[in-house]
Amino acid sequence: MRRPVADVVAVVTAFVTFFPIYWMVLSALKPAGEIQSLDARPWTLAPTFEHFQRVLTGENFSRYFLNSLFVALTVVVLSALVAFLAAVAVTRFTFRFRTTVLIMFLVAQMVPVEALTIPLFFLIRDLGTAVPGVGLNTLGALVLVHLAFSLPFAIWMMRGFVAAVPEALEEAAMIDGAGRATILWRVIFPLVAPGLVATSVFSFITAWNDFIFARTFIISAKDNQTLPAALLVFFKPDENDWGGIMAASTLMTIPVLIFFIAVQRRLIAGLGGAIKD
Amino acid sequence: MSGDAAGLGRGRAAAFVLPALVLIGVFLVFPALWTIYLGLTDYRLTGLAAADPQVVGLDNYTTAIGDERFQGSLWLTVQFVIGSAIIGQAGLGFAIAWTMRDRRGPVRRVVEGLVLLSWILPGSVVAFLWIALLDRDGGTLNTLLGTPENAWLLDNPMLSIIVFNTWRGTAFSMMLYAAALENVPPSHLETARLAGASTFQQLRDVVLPRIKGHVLTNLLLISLWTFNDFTPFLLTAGGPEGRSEILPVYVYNVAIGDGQLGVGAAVSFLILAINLVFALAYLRLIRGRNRAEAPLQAPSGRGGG
Repeated sequence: MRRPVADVVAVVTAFVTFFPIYWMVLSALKPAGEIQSLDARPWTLAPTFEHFQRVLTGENFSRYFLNSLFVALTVVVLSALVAFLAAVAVTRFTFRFRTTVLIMFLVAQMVPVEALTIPLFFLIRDLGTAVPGVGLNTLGALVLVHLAFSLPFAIWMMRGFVAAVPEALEEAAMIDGAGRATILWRVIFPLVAPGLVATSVFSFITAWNDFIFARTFIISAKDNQTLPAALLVFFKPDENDWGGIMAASTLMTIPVLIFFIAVQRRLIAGLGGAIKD
Repeated sequence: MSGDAAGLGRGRAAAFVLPALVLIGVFLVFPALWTIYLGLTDYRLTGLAAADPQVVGLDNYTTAIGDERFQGSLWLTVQFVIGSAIIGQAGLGFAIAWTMRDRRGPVRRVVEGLVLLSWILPGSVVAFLWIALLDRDGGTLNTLLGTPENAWLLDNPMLSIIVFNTWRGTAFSMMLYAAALENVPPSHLETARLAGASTFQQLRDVVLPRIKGHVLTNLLLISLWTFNDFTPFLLTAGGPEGRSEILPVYVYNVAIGDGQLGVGAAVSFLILAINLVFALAYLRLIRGRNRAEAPLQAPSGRGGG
């Protein structure tokens, strides 16, 4: 394929990909009467914020939004920390069950989520009676479960980054009199930061986007719902409120987008580094 | 790497892995084992067997394997993985990465950004988007194509979810291949081109050997993700008449819909076993590759972009 042709094809593909998202934002801005009309036009002459306004003022949307944000951010921070430590241990230290542990991480990644929902439901229910704050209907339960699910992939990715830090660097630091904690946090940690960033995008996206766990664990506590529940409000048996759905969807997309744009460059470099191992 | 360069010491190393091990053990391994146990019982969501489940041995497995619905579902899942993950995501992702490989500046950034957008959107959001797009009454696609009354999700449910999943997941493959292609020295491609190699020959002889590891990792991850993907449930719920009931949806419908938790758990375990086979094959291929080649160097990261 000649270059200009190839370029055009790639750009067209990208725009086709983008189309549904464009449609989402467009429908969120269209006045109510225009959304479902048969001669739908790919633009609107009378953009309005009425749907956004309705979404933001009603049905606890902002509350759900903050809940989702809290869960996702907590998972990101804890997951980065735990995965970093675990990755250092499995790459920098040979211990007896290392291979077993590594294989366990790999296998754990393949367990179909739906399969675990039922046992997890019972587990969380029983855990809640023993430890307050992590039972059914709590955000703590969501944090714990998402944290656990994000770890195998995170550790697996971090391994590659930690392994890429030359050991000579650590030895040099040690000779210069650096303590173990200094080596860990001032030498290794900054060097694997791009990897941590790439990994945290995954954790954030999965935690933020989740609806299965949220629907399973948060049954009756209305205040502890997360965003997917807010979306369902606009589905009605007879007539779906598409304007509301699209406005809520757009709002739900914004944090992922911000998070993602902030780390996009590092993410691509990060993926390259992790997979090379 | 037998040393202890970070100076961890045995106890500290154990302390470092412990949080991860406990979390994964409690919330992944333990429920997984529980699932295996459930698969051996006649546990149900409601009724007598819910209060007092009996161990029924391998009955659930023989029931499931002999069930035409399960066999059909397995076949649909194979179609789904080959169609949307291998041909769709990996094929399209590579094509875009290849086209953009020596591009810098706005064109590349726009293309990458747009494709990535579909990957990061919340699953529930994209499902609603696609329902709106493919809806029979006033769906966007029908309006644009001038084909009212075309019920895409009912007439072509498999095609719909394959296109959907391709749309959704291409970004990951594209990013991975973009990073991989950074490792192919342009001078090698130049030499090949001057020697009269066609694009296909360049890909086969110059590019592929260098990015084989990336290709394998990519195919493994996206196959597993697609195999376990539950999002199509939001589009078609497996219907109509089970014509898009891929395995994860089948599990959900059997376990929650019909209340047969035992059978659902047994099928989940079968899914896990199939995943394991994938992973083992992958590990073998990787190990073979590492023996054949010198170890790879440290990552170099992509400058500019």
